[in-house]
Amino acid sequence: MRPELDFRALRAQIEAATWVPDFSTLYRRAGRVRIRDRMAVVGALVGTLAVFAPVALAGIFGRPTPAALGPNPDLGEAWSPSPVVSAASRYPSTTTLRAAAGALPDSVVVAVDVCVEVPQHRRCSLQVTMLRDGSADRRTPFVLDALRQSPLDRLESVELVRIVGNTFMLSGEVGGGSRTSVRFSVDAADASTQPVESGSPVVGPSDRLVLKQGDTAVQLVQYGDFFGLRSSDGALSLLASQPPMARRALAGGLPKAAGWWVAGADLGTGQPAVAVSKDQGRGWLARKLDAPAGLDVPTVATLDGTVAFAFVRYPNSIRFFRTADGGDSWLEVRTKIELPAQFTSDKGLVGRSFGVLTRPDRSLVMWIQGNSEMVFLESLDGEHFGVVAGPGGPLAAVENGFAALGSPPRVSQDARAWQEATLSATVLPN
Amino acid sequence: MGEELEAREAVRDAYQAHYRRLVAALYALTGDHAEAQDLVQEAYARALARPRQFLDVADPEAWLRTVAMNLARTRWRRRRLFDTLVRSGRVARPVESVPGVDPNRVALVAALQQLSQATRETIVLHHLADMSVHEVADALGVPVGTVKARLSRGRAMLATLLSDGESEPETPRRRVEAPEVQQEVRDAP
Repeated sequence: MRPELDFRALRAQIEAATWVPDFSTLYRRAGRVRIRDRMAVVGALVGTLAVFAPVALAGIFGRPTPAALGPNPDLGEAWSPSPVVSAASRYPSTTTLRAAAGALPDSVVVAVDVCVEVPQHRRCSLQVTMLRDGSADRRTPFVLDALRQSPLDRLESVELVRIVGNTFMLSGEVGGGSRTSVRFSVDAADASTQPVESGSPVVGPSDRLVLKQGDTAVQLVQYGDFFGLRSSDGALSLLASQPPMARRALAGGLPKAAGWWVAGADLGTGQPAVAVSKDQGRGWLARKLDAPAGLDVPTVATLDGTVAFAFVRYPNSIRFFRTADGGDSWLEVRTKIELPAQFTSDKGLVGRSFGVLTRPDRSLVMWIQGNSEMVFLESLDGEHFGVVAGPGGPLAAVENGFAALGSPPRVSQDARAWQEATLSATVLPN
Repeated sequence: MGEELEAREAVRDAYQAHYRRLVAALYALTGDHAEAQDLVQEAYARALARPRQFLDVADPEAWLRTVAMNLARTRWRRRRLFDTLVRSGRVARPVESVPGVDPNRVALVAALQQLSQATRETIVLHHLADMSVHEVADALGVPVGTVKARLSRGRAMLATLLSDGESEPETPRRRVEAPEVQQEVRDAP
């Protein structure tokens, strides 16, 4: 029989053949539908986040900030002579003055370490910029990213020396290794907004030139040979005679008239020793101090080169020696330096920044890095020390005065009355 | 909470009233009685998952049928994609016979499976779901003329297929893909 297009019969037969399950069985299935719908929503959210979150994060954290970019010349934004150009970074940044050179009042240059405190990856850039007692006048540092091979490198014992005129030499111990130096020029009239490239490394020559009174000594490598720096043309000359001592280090920040003073350890006994040359390195007068071997090299302070002091740091005390004959004989000053309690505990002085200098009035000022701030001690008679208020940071002798490398930095002509100074712009490390 | 219970009762009422009719329509569409029941139950489960939304539906049977047919289309697409990827062939499942259904009716369902998807849906909605031509046109989103053309051509094809099946029982079944009129090609979903 030929089948017919009888849809009604088809429907009726199928309906009759269809058994209707119990309605309650649908509840479980409805629950699965709900779960599936929720999973779909969660999946869509996760997918959306996976696509947009990296873009959003890159937009937020990869965006250069206006502070880092500086003023927009297209918008006619004026440059604000802020002492520090700090980007609104995720991490805090610190600015630490490491060394100073030049002359007051208007040509003091400072080496500044600008660091971004990224956890486990502290990134720093050593820069050279101006320090003035008035308003800042530079928009960019003279030197950027100096000495370090990597922003993560540790940098210690930074020194800045004026060679001649506007030429300076910057040196430091990178990563606890050898001392490296760079030379650079500072053109005060330079209105360029671009930072000067890092100076070229200084390599000690083997030439020996004639040095004169007023020339200075430099040490290019840690514990290495000394070179004379001719002030007339900035030429380096290897000294014919090197001070006979171990762990030798040039005593910086002393007046040129005082001669060249070197601290180190006696070659034979390892005791702290001091050497001095009054003839531009042709001859050295080296004397060991009556102190045990193995201590830090002494810290030397003198104004005229005749009366000088050598301070030897012990784990929890400081002893000092005095010479009145230009370093030929040293006598220990028996008066004990009374230090604050934070330094007299077991190894209370170990690893702390420490320095001494002689003021123009021949009084001594000493600074020690305390637990929270720099501690200053003063001696008016070269024998008795007492704690005094200070400018807040380690001191550096510059021509015509002194600079306190704290925050804020300060300058002074007599190391007594301090005036707040302005640091020119620095930039955050890459 | 009261509204939720009321909505669930509405779903239960629709279940008792329309389940068999929907299964019949879906069986005609899919040719698989078990799958038709599964599709209809899934449609009811979705209604039960959001019962309040179901309360706002003006025609529960039409809503459930649309959901079930959309599910059938989705499964059919997946099956076709899988078949294309795995076997590079077409899906051709034999129509199962249902106990209690006359073999001639089963042959009609089998012939329906030989039609194109659009034509089959049109015939099922019109002849098995008792929807008017206008309602089918609205449901499928095509012009009324297209629905009429599909119905006419579909019936003719079914008649041909059923008579072929009667005279040449040994001939293997083949899908009849008659050329559609220009309008249908343009408007078909």
